[in-house]
Amino acid sequence: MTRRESSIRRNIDWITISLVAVLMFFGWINILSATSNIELLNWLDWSGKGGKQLMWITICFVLGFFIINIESEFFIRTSVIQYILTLLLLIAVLIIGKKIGGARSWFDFGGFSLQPSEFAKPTTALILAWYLSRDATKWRSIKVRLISLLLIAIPTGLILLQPDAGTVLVFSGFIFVLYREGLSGNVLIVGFTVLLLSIATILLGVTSFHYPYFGVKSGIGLFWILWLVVGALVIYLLKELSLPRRRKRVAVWSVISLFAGLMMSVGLHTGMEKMLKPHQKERIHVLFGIDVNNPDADYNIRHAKAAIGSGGLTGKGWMHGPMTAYSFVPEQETDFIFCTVGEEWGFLGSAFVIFLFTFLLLRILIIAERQRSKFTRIYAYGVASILFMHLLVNVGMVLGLAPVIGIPLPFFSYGGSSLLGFTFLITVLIRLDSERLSVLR
Amino acid sequence: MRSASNNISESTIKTGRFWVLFVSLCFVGIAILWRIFCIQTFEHEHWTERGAEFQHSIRNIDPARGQIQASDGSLLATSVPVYNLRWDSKCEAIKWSVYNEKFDSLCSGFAKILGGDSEEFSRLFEEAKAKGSRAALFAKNIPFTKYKSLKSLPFVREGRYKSGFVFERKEVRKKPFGQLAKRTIGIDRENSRVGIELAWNKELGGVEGKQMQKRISGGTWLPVTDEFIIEPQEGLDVVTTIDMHLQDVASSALRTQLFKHDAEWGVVVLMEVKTGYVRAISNLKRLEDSKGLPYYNESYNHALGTAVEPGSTFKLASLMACLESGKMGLNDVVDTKNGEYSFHDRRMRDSNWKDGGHGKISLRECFEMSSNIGSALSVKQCFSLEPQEFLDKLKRMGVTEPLGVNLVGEGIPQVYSSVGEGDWSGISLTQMAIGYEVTQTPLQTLALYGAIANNGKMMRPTFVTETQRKGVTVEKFEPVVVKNNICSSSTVRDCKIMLESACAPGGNGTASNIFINKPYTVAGKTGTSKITENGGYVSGRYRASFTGYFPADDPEFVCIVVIADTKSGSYYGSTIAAPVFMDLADLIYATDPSFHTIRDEPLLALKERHLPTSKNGAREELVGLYEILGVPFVQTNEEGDWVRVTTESDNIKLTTRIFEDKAVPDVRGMGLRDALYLLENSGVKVRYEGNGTVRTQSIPAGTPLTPESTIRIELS
Repeated sequence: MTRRESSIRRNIDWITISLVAVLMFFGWINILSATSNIELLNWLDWSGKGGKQLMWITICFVLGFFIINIESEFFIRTSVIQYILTLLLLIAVLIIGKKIGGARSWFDFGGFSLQPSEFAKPTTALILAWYLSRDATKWRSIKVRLISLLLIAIPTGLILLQPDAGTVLVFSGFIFVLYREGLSGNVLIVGFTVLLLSIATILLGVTSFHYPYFGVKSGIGLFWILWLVVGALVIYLLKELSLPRRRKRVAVWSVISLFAGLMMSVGLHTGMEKMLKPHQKERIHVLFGIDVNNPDADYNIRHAKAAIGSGGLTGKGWMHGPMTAYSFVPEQETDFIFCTVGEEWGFLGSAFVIFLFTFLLLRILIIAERQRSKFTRIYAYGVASILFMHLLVNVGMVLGLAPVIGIPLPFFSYGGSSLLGFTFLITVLIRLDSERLSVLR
Repeated sequence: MRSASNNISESTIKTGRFWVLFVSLCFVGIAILWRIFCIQTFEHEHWTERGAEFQHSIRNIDPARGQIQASDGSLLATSVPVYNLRWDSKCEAIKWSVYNEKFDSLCSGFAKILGGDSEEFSRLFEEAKAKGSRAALFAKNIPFTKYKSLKSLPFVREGRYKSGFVFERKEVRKKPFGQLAKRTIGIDRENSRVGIELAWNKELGGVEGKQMQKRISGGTWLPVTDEFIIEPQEGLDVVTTIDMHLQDVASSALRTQLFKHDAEWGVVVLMEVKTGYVRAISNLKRLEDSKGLPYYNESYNHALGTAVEPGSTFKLASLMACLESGKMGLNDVVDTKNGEYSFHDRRMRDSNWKDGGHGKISLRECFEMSSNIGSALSVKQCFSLEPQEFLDKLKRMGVTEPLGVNLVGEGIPQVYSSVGEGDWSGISLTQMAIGYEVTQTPLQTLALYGAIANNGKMMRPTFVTETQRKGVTVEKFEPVVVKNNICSSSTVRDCKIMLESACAPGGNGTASNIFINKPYTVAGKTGTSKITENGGYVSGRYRASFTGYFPADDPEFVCIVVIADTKSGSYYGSTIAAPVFMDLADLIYATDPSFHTIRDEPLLALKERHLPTSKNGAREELVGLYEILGVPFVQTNEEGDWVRVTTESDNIKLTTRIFEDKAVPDVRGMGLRDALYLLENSGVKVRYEGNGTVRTQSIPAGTPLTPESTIRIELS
C-alpha cells in the first residue's frame, strides 16, 4: 500500500457512511413492518420485500466498496461519457421503456426493472462539476451560464417527457448548486415570489366574492386589482426611496415585474380552469386544504396523516401499527414509508429520521466547503441538492405540504434502483472527499 | 449580481452563500419537524379518530335473493354461490418452496378439476409471475363443489397468504331447468332485469342490511358485533303458476315443430280457464350457432310483448260483434260468391278461391271454414251503417286494452277507438273483420278465447300465486277478473258452437282433421296471417296460429300456439300450430286424474280375495289406507299409535304394539321410516343397512335405554 493510498483510507468520512448505514438499516426495519405482519414475519425470506431490500443493501455496500477504491480521476474524466450515456438511456426509455402508472420510465428486464432517471441524478451532478470546475469556465460569461443551464435542462426535459414530475422537481434543486457558484440571488427571490403568487392564485381561484354591479364572481379578480393597486404604490415608494441615478432602472424593472406577475397569475388561473383534468385539479385543491366534493381525492393524504397522527409522541411500536399492517396507506413501503415511521415510532422516530437527514445534509455541505478542489465542492453541492429535494418533496407529500408526487425517501424507501442510485451518488462523494489532501484542482 | 459583488472578494460572497443555504436548510428541517410535531401531538386525537374511521365503517349486507318456484315447488330460479379464483403472485408470505415442490401436481390438479390441460395452468402461473400480477384470474364462476376440491389441492391448501390464492365469492342466479320458461322467469341482472325477476324484484330482493364492520388484513371486513343497524331481510320466494311437466311438454312440442318447419319464432301458452293461471309458457326464437346450424332458445317474451295482426283468430271477435248486434244469427246466410270479392279497391280471397269458393254459407260455416269474405260481409252487413258500433262492441269485449299482466313489457293492442282515427279508411271495417288493421299479443288473444270458455268472464293471465318466506305464505294473490261479461250468454253459447264445429272431426272445419280419435273434444280456431314488414305485407311469409280450449264441454285449459315465418313451405295454422296444441292436450288428458272417473267396484285383486301384505307401522296411516282401498280389516284394540300387521285369509288383523318406556322398541317388520322415527325418538343413534323391512336389530327389544347407544338394524 502506497502512502497516498493509506492517506486516502484514513481520510474516508466515516460519519457520512455511518449516517447512511443507519438510514438504510432503519429503512429496512420499517419496510419489514410495512410489508409483513408479525405472525408471518420471516427475517431471511429472500422472496419478501424485506429480504429483497436486505439483498439490495448488501449489494449497495459491495458497490460502495468498489467505488471508494476507484481513483477519483476516473469519475472526472468519464463524466462526459457518463452524461452522454445517461442521455441515450433517457431517450431509449421513452421508446422501449415499460409504462407503469402512466409514465414510461422503466426498463423491464423480466422480473428486474431499472429506472434510468435514478442514474441521471449523479451523472448530471458530475457533468456540472466537471464543466464549472474547468479553468476555462468563467461564470461571468453568458455562454457559460447558458451551457450550465442546458446541462441541467436536457435530462430534465427528457424526464419530463416520461413524464416523471417528481424527478423533475428534484432536478430543480440544481439551482442551489448554481447559486453557490455565483448565480444571482435574485433568481431565488424571483422563484420564491412566483411560488407565493401561485399559491395565492390557487387559493383565491376557488373563493367567491360579491362585486357591486357584477354579482358573485371568483375572488381572483379582486386579487388582481389589489395586485395592481398595491404594486403601483410599492413601485412609487421604491422609486422615491432609491438613488436618483438608479430610479429609472428601478421603475422599469418594477413595472415589468408587476405586469409579469399579473400575466403569470392570470395564465395559471385560466390554465387550471381550462387545461387540467378534474382529478389533477382536485389533487392541487386537496393540497391547499380546499374542500373537494370527491371523498377519494385526498385518500392518500388522509390515510397518511391518520397513520402518522395516530402514532403520537412515542408510536404504537414496531409491527404494531394497524394502519400499516392492513396496508391502508398506498405505497407504504416505497413513497409513503415515512407513514410507517410516524405510526409505529411516533414523533421520536420521525424526529430521529429528520435529524439523521439534516445531519447528513449539513455534513455534506461541510464536506463541500472544506475542499480545495472545485470539482469536489460543486459535486458535493449537487449531492446535497438532490437529497434535499427528495427529503423535502417526500416528507412534504406525506405531511400534506407538497402535492402527491411519487418520489422515494433516499436510502429509506423500498426499491433497488433508488438505493443503487443514491449509493453511487454518496460513495463517489466520499471517494472525492478522501482525496481532498492529496489533490489540488 | 453586478451591483455589490464588484467590491467584495469572491470567496466572501461564496462563504456568505454557504451560510444562506446552511441556515435555509436548518430552517426547512425545523419547519418539517414542527409540522410533524403538530400532527403527532396537538392533532394526535383527531387523527387517531380519523384512523379508527378508516378501520371501522358501516357496510351494506346484501340479503339473499328469494327463489322463483314452479307451482309444485320445483326451483325455477335460485341464487347459488360461485367463486372466481385469483392468484396474487406478489403476496409477501407465499411459500415458494412448497410452490416449487408441488408445482406439477398443482397444475394437474387444476386441470383435473377445472378441465383443460395442466400446461395451460403452468403457463398461467408463468404469466402471472412475469407480469407481477396481484390478481391473475385462474378460473371464473366455479361452483361450490369444485371450490371445495380446489381448496384441498396442495399449495392452495396453505391458505390465502401462504399460497396467494384468493377465492372471490359471489352469488349468481341459476335456472335449474335451463331454457324452460326462461324468458318468463326472467333474468336478474343489475339494472336490466326482465320477466318475473323484474316484476317481482322488490319481493325477491329483500331488504339490504347495514352493519358496523372493521377492516382486517387483506382488505376483508368483519362485523364488530352481531348487531345490525338495519337488519338484512332475505328476499321472499315467489311461487309461480308454472307446471313443470306441462312446461316441459309445451316447450319440447314447440321446439320440435319449429325445427320441422324451420320457423323464426314460436309461442305456446297454456292457461287455466277458471283462474287465468298460466301453467306453461314457452317463447322460442331461432338462433344460429357458429357453424350456422339453427337452434331455438328463449330470448324474447313474444307472448307478452309482441302485438301483431292476429289474422283469422280475430274472426271470433268480429263475428261475436255481429252476433251481439242481434242483426245476424248463426244460421244467417252470406254469399261468398266464387271465393273472390272486392271491397272498394281491395280484392279479398278465400283460401279455396281457385276451387270456386264456398258460395252461400251460414255465419257458422263462415267461421268454421274461416271464410275471409264471409266474415267481412257479415261485419259489413251488420255495421256498415254504424261502424262506430263495431268498435264499441270490440271495446266491450276487452280486446282494445292491455290486460294488465303483472310483468313488465306487455304489448299494447292497437284497435281503432273511433271511426276516422289514424289510418281509418273505407276498407278498415272489412279488414278488421278478418284480423288485419288490429294488433293483439298472443296473451290477449288467449284471454279472449279463455273468456268464451269461462262463459263470458275474462280472466287476467297470471304468473304468480303467492309469495313465501321459508315455505310459509306471506301474501296470496287471488285470480283477477278483467271483465265479468264480455258478451251476452247467448253469444257465448253461439261462439262455443262455432269454435267446436271448427274442430269437430269429420266436419268442414279448418281443424277438422287434427283431433281425430281423441277421447277429449276441442274447441278452437286456426289462424294464418301475413307478416308485415316496413308497413307492407311480405308475400310467402306467414304467422300460423291455433287458439282453443278443451275439453269442449267443460273447459279446463285454454291454449294458444303461434309459429311465425316458417320456411318449410307449409304455413297453415292447422298443420303448423294445431299439432303443438294436440301434444299438450294429449299429455294433460293422460296425466290429469280429473279427466278420468274412478270405478266404484272393488279392485280386481280384492275381488279375488288376495289381500295385500304390509309392513308394521303407524296405525293411523294403515287404517286410512285400508279404508280408501276397501280392504277388510279388524283391530284388536283401538289404542296405541303403533300396530303389528298380520294378513289372514279374509281380513287383515292389526294388533296394538306396546313399547315400554325407556326401553329399546321392537322395530322388526317395520319399514325404515317408521323404525327410524321410533328409535331416534327413544334416544338411540341408528345405523342401517339394506332396504325393505327391518329383519334384525342389534339391541334386543325391551333392553333398558342408555343414552348415546347406537343400534344397528338390517333391512331386507
